[in-house]
This record gives sequence, C-alpha cells and structure tokens, in this order.
Amino acid sequence: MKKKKIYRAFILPAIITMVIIMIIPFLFAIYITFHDVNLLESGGAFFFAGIKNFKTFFTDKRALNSVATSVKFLVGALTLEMFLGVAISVFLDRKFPGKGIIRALVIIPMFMTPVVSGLIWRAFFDPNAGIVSYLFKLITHRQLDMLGTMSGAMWGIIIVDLWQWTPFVILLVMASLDSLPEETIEAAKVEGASEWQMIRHVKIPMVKPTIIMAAMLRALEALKAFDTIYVMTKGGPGSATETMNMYAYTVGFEFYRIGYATTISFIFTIVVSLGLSKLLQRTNAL
Amino acid sequence: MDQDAIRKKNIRTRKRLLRGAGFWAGTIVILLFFTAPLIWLVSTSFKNYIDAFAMPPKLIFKPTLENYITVFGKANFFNNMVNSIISAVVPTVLGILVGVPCSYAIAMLMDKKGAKNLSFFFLSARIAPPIMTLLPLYIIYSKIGLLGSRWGIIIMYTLMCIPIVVWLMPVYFRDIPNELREAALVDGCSEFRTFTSIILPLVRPAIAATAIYCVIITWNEFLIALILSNKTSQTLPVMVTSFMTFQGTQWGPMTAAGSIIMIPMLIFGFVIQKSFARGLASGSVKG
Repeated sequence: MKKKKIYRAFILPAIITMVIIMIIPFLFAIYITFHDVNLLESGGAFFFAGIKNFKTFFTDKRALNSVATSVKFLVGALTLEMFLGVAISVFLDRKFPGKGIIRALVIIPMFMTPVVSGLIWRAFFDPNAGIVSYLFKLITHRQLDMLGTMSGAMWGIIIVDLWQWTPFVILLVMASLDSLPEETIEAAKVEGASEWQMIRHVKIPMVKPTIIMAAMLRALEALKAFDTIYVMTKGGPGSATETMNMYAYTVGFEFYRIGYATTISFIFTIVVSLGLSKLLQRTNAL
Repeated sequence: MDQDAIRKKNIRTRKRLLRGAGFWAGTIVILLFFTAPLIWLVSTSFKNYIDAFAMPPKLIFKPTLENYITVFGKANFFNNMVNSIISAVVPTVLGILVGVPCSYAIAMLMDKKGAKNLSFFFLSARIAPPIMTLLPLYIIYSKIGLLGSRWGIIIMYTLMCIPIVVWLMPVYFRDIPNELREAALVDGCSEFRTFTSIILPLVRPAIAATAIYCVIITWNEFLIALILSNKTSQTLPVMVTSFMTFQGTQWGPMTAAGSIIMIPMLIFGFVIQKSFARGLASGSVKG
C-alpha cells in the first residue's frame, strides 16, 4: 500500500506538468477548430463557425495535396532509411580496426542542427555552385536544378531526411546486433550457414523488434519534418513539397487563419494517432 | 598435388584480400556520404568568398577568420547564444527533475496495465506535431504577454524533454537487481530514501546521457523558437536563417555560425552515443 502511494507521488508531477502544457492547449485547440479566428482581419476575435473549417479542409485542393505530399515524403524517406539503415548496419557488423570511430562518424548527422543541415544541402543542390549539381554535370553533362523542379524538390527533401536520420536507424540496429548472443551466431556457423543465410535467417529475425521500433519512431518524426523543408523549399516549387505540417504553418503563421490552421493540424494528429495505435496493437500481437 | 594445394590457397587469399578491399571501399563511401556535409560546412567557414564557391571545391586554401569575425560582430549574437543556453538547460533540468522519478515508478510498475497506459500517454506527446500545440499557445501567450518571452519557449521545451526522459530512463532502472532495493528496504530505508541514496547513484551515468540528449534536442529546435521568440529572445538556429536574405544567402557567415552552433552538440553526441543506444532501442512503447 505504502509502496503504491510513493509511486503515485513520483508520477504525479510529470502528469500534472504534461496536462497543463499539453492537454489544456489541446482542448483549447479543439475549441478553436469550431471557430473562425483571423489575426489579421479581426485581431484574433473568435467567431463561431460550426464545422465549417472541417468542410473547408475536405474541399481545399491545397490541403488534400498536402496530405498526398506528406504520404509521398513518408513512404519515400521511411523505405529508404530503413533499407539503408539495416543494410549498412549488417555491412559494418564484423570485427575490423577502427570500428568504434567509424560508427561514431557515421551517426554524426543525427546530432546536427536540422536547420543548418537543410542550409548545407541547399548549398549542395545549388544549380550553379553546388557540389551535387557539379558532380551530376561531370557525369551526365546535364544541368541539375534539384530544388527548382517539382519532382526534384521532393527527392531533395527525402535525401536530406535520409542523410540525417538513417544514422538513427544504424545506431539502434547496430547496438542491437552487438547484443546478440555469441553462441547463436557460432551455432549457425557450425551448422554451415553461409554469410548471406546468416544475415537473412539469423541476424535480421533476431533484431526485428528493434527494426520495427526504429521504423515506428522514424515514421512519427518524418511526418513532423519541418526545419529542413522550411529552409530548403518552403513547400515549393508550387506546392510540391508542402507537407501537412508545412501547410498548417503557412495557413497559421503566414495567412494568420488560426482557426483553419488548427483544424489542419488537429486532423493530422487524429489520423496519425489512430494509425499508430492500430500499429501498436499489431506489433504487440507479434 | 602439392602445387594444386598451393594454388588453391593462393586463390583463397586473393579472394580474401579482394573482399577486404571491397569492404573498405564500401566503408569509405558510407563515411563520405554521412560526413561530407559537416566537412564542407567547417571548411567553407574558413574560406573567403571566392574560394567558397570555386568548382571543383578547393581542398587547399588560405584559411581566413573573416566569417567568424562577421558572426561575432553581429550585435545580437552573444545575446542569442545566451538565449540558446538558457532555453536548453532550464527545460532539461526541469525535465530530469520531473521525469526521472516518474521513470522509476514506471519501471517498478511495468508489469501492470496502468504503467503501459502511462507510457502511451507520454508517447502521445510525440505524436502531435508541435504546431498543434503552438497555435493555441500563440493565442494564449499573446493574451497573457508571454509571446516573445524566453519563458514561453522554456515551457514548450519542457514539454519536449519530459517524454524523452520517461522514454529513455525506465530501462536503466529495470536493470538494477531487485535484491539491492529489497535489501535497503529491509534495512529500514524508506522507499524514498532507497530511491535517492541507493538507486539514483547507480543510474547517474544514464541520467547524464539523457540530460545531454535533451540539451541536444532543445538546442537544435527551430520551429517553436521561430514562432514564439522575438528579436531579443531568439535562439541560434533562428538566427542562422537570418543569413538568408532577399539578396541571397551569405554563405560565409552562415557556415561560420552553423559551425559554432553545431560543434558542441557533435561533441555531446559523441560522448553519449554508446550509452544511450540501449535506452533508445528499448523505448517505452514496447512495455
């Protein structure tokens, strides 16, 4: 009994803090979604609007396009990050001199300030003076304007995301590979498993929980990506890289239509939470 | 017969050498891809305007400090740095103070359903995009006068730190053998005393790593600071974007500022990478 009480005292401060700074704004956000709030036109006065904002969302082409863009970005970035992350981890999973240093160097990008990363890659993709464009021209003799074309810009932001966050997958998967029991690996070797069989049927199945975990965290973060997109394309050209998150920002803090912007991010949050809890149920069943 | 054996052995060694060469070639490609942007950033920060965009990139050049002088000469640079330090350290301390006891309780209750729901509650803070909280807070802040204040940012950053702590820490508490705790309890220590004087010292390295991770995350944060800060409370990541002007980007000072911002975080990252990989992988959702 006494034990339980002290745990409650340990948990409460965290819960209270979270409720005050998360739940209250969240409830207020729901209230806002049913109102027209425009900071420019009416100085932030609230006008009840019913479900108008939700109706607008489903007829707003730009909003629906931002949903598609988010999905495209998520699928592209997540697939490449998981594939490269697992491949590189398995590739580096052997004994060689300097392993510790090399691993530490490979995961550098995940600690780099995202805004600065975005700016660096913007310089790399510069059609006239960027290294990537230069190398591209050297090989193909063609001009490359990565961030200036619709499909190029999407690839541009995916490349930056995978460059910055594949290291996160590598860090997790390599740590998990390191902790595999020696005996299992040895046993498979004695049985005469080839290196490929070992990777395919022993190592990867054993680190699968970590891979799923990493994919889930990456998916969550990729959906929220903002900093790099903001400095590289600001959603452009046109609205080629305007994700839901980016669109909500533009509507909220460039058009100052707070009511509608809140509705966009509210719909986003609900959809992602539902998706995630479905996913959690399924992975728990595994 | 003998010659055949020697030939076979030769082929095998050659194969091994070839595979070794392939491995190192692959490793170098991987390394280059992940480190080139950092190398470019730091080297460009020491180049003058002409060298910076010479193609092919100049590997040998006369280093100059003019970009750093420009950055340090900016009127608000040191003010921004102070803002960045305060907005990273205060939320981290608050997050640790509130989050560590909570993690301990979660670790001890982990088998129960309640603890699992708790973990999900903290995870949910990571699902909503910051903009979801930012929009209502923007209105609340402007009503109560917190808009543009350092405290407004600190509040939001604390909201980021608590879930990180609760996500990373429980696994380290679960590692502590139960006998240790029970022995202390039998000896007449209260639960609270056991926690503060037996358990906490054991997880001190983990707390340090978690705190450093919180500092990295808040130091690098951009969107919240962009929206909630003004000229006097703005942090370094927001300041960096001020080198993007209508006349084009001032790459020299930008790379210098970028290097100044990033180097301390890279050192931090280097220090903690080993110890916190486990906490990351365990994650509270698995429960």
